[in-house]
Amino acid sequence: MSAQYATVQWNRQKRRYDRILALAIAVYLALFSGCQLYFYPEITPETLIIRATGTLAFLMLHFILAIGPLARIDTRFLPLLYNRRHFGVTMFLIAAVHGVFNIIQFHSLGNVDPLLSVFISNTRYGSVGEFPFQVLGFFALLILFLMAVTSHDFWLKNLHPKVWKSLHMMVYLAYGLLVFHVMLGVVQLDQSPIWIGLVGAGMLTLLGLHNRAAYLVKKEQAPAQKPETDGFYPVCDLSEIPENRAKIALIDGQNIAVFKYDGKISAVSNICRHQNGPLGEGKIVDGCITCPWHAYQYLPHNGQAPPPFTEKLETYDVKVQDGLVWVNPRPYPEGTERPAAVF
Amino acid sequence: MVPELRKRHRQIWRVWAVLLPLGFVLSVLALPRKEYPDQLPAPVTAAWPIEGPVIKSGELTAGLRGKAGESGKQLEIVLQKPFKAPMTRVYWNEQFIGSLGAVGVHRYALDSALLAAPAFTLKIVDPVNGVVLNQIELQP
Repeated sequence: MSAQYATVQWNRQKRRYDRILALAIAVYLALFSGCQLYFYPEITPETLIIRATGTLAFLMLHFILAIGPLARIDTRFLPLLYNRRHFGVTMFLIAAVHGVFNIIQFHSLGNVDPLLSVFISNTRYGSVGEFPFQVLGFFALLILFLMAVTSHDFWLKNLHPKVWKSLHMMVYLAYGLLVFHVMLGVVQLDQSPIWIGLVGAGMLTLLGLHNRAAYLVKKEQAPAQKPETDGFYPVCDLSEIPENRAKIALIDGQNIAVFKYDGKISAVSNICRHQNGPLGEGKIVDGCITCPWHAYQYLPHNGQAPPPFTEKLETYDVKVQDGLVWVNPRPYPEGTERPAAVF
Repeated sequence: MVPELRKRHRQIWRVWAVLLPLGFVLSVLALPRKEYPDQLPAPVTAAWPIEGPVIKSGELTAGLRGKAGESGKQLEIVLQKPFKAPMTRVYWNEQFIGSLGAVGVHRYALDSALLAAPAFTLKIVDPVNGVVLNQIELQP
C-alpha cells in the first residue's frame, strides 16, 4: 500500500520469493543447456540462447497463469500470488531476450529493416502449416512489454483500475498467441511428439484450472437466502470461515468479505480501493485485512487503512446466532466503525 | 475481484476452452509429412582421401572423398560463412542427409544406394522459408 509513491517496496517475503525465482531460473537454464549440448553438440551459442529463453519464458507463463486459479482452489497457494508481479516482469525479460536474439539471428543480416523483416520475410498468412509464426510471438511480446512497464507502482497508482485491469487481462490473449507461436513454429519444424505433448498438457492444465476455479467461485457465491425481518442474511456456519480469513458473500448487489479474527467477526466491502482486488481472498496480517494482489491493508472493524494511509472501505453489520454468521447488506459510509460480532 | 471482472475472466476462459484445443488440433493436422528418413547415415569420423574435383559455390566448397575397398563415399562441405537462414538442411539427389550448422568442415556418409544415380545434385535448403540456398552438381 502507498500513501505516497515509492519506487520499489521490498519486504522479507518478496526477497525470498525473488531468490527462489532466480534459483529456479538458473537451474532450468543449466539443465536445458546441458541437455541441448549433449543432444545437439553442433548447436551455436545464439541458437542455444534462443531455445533456452523461449522454452523458459513459455513455461514461466504457464506458472504465472496457474497461480490465480490455484490460489482460489486452495488458499495454501496464496503466498505465490503476493509477488506474482516480479514473476511476470522476469518472464517478460526472458521472453525479450528470446525475441531480440531471434530478430538479430534471423532478420538483421538482410537489406530489410529487421522489424519489418519479421512481417514480410514469410508472407504465407493463408497457410496453417507455414504460417509466419514469428509474427504471433512479436505481438505476444508486445503485450507482455506493456504489462511489464505498467506493472510498476507508479502505473498502479495513476492508471484507472478498469484500464489497468483490462490491459493486464490481455495476458490471456498473449498466452493464446504463444500457444500458436509454438504450435505453428517449432512444432511444425521439429514435428516432435514431445513438444506437442508438452504444449497440449500445459494448455489443458490451464484450461482445467481456470474453469474449475470459476466453477467453485460461482458455486460458493450462490444467491443468498431470504433475509430475516431485521435485514440480516445468513452467510455461512461460523466454522466455515478459517481464522484470519474470510467468506465472500454476494447479497443484494453488495460484494462483502466477512472476516473471522481474534474471536470476532467483521464485514467490509470485498473490493480493494487500490485495484479492485479481492480482499476476501486475502487474510488478516498484523491485525489488518491484507489484499492478496498488492498488500493494501485495512482495519476489519472500520474498513480504514491504518495511518498514514487514507483508503477506506464500506462496512456492514454482522451478527452470530447459534453458530450461524449473518450480515446486513446495507453498507455504511466508507470508514464507518461497526461493532464486531463476538463469539 | 469484482463480480463483473470475475465474469469477464470466466467468459475469456470459456472461449479459450473452445478455441485453443481447436487451434491445437488444426496445428497438429497441418504437420507436414516427415520428409527425411527415420535414421540418418552414421556420422563420419575419419576423412578419406579426396576423389574428384572440389567445387566452390558461394560461401562453401563441396567435394567427395573415397577409399579403396569401400562402396560408399564421403561428402565433405566446408562452410566459410554461416547462412542467413533459421535452419539449413542438406539434400543429396532430393534425399535428406543431414543439417548444416556452424562454420567449418561437415562430412556426410553416402552409401551405395545414394551413389547409384547417374548424376548428383547437392542442395542446401532453408525449410522454414522454403528456399534453396545453394545448389551444386557433382560428378559421380
